[in-house]
Amino acid sequence: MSRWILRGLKKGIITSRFPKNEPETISPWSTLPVYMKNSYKGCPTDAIHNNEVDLRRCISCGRCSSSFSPSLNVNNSIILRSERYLKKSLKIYVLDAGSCGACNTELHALSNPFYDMNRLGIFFVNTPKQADALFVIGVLSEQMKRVVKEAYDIMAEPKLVFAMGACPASGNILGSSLSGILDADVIIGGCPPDPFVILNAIMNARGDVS
Amino acid sequence: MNTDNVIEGFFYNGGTQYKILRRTEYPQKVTAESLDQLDQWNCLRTEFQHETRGENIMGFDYGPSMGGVIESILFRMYTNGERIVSMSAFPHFKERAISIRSQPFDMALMRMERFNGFHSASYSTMFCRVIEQSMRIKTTQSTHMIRIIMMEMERIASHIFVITRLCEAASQNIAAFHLNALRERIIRLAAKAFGHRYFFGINSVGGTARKIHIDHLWEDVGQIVNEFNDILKLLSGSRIFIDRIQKTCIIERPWLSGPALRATGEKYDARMSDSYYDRIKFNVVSEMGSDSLARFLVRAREITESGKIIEQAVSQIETTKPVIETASEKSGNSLVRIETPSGNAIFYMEIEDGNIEYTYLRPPSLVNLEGFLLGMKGNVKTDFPFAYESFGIWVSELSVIA
Repeated sequence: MSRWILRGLKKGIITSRFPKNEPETISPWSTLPVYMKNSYKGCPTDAIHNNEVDLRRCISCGRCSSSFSPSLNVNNSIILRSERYLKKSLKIYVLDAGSCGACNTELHALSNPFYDMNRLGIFFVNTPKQADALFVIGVLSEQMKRVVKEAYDIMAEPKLVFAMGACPASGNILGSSLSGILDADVIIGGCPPDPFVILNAIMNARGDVS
Repeated sequence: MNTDNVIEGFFYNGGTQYKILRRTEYPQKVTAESLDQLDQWNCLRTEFQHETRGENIMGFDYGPSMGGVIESILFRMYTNGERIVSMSAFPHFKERAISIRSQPFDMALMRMERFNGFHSASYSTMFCRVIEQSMRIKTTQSTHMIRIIMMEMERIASHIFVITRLCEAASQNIAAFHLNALRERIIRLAAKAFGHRYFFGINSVGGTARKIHIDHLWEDVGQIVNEFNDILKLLSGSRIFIDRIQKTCIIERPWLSGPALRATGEKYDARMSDSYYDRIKFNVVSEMGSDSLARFLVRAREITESGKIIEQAVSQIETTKPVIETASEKSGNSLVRIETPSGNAIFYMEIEDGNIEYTYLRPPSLVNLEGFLLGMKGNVKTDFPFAYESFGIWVSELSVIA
């Protein structure tokens, strides 16, 4: 045990100072592209209109790199409803409705020592009954519709629904969005969203200003 | 054990049935009678049911959405108390029907990247290569090496993730934090070098689509591999950890795939016969025991091998700028095997006049899920997390590609 502690001490503090400071790093093509030059036609998800990119549709494919470049902006979410009562503690239940696996592992990364979401009062729980926020990831498969609805119904108030990534926000290029089953309170853009983008969206949804 | 005749895949095309044998380059016609006796017959048809009936035996459902397993899947454990008599799986809850037939290559490629996002480099490379082989597109040595670097970085990240999950399941939380930090570092390296944490948008049919930045990449990867080996030494000294995973979920079948197969002592790795790796030296890792410990050790040792491969591949890259070669044929068919981090995936494709006419994909999780279910017979319920995580199964891979 002492050797583990020694190793930990040798590594020093690696945890991010975000949101007090800017993020140390961000995955370029997981942030919203911004217009630079020339017109671009042929976005595979029809996310670009009048040189503006719709974060619900953008799948971070980078096909527009001749005209757009990544914004590197951590603010890549739409907050439709915030909940200040959850400011000090937010318990998250993750529901995989048909994901490719990338969003699952990005959420898992939030608990690593670089992000350490617990320091911000954010925790994962194993049942929706204990959750304040439902994170839906992936396109909505037919058989998961009932599961999503049941999970939401047994959550206590106040509660928030996060549509994480392009899949539940717009259906991506693979299937159906969350629309019509649940109304998302927060939409997080990216495919998959960078962990700093997820943290920023959570902070904004509970009334913190990043 | 001679495993050359192992049937790795099976499909229908135009009213005819075909099988794919290990170490063969083309599908072969087969009659149904010779297949239904196969041990792996059910899983090749995506059926994973092993119901047991009897006095005092009940089915205990776990899933489809639960905190313990990160993807949605329903397990039904048949049990008369603590011991598992048999187990079924219903992985179709999150099934996505991914259509690539008759789609433009670019759109189909983006869908393949999201077939298993965590192993996107492997699947996008496999997709590009099957088209390149079918349409006789001659890709450059640099393209091969860039793809190798992506796949090996992905393997390191994936193996560390599986070992992290194994540590979490075995309550080795300090080790899990150290490993989780290492995985984050390799993913950040990927973002820095390739512009995306999961390599989306890099591969293209005929080459690579974006400029990459690999200065000092090998030094950084080498440091991560060395640190992993330090952690491994500490972890291997933990009696609690070893006791929990040793002799858990023992399964020895020749049709298993990847680390699960190599943990049975079988030295089979699709990279051995992959032309991309002709100028790369590496060792195929195998272990004895066929249990969760052996699968853990195979993954741990493969991380070092992947580090060596990246070092060699970086030195053989001539240009980091995007290069895309064009096709010389409009029609053709091809079968490609790729050693993904979970095991070898097989992809067969037929192209007519530049259109994708037929595809068959056999992911490794298809057979490894069956291996997990069979291996759990006789284990107790508390063994479930160590056993499941040791296979590195991805339910997303069980989506339908058509």
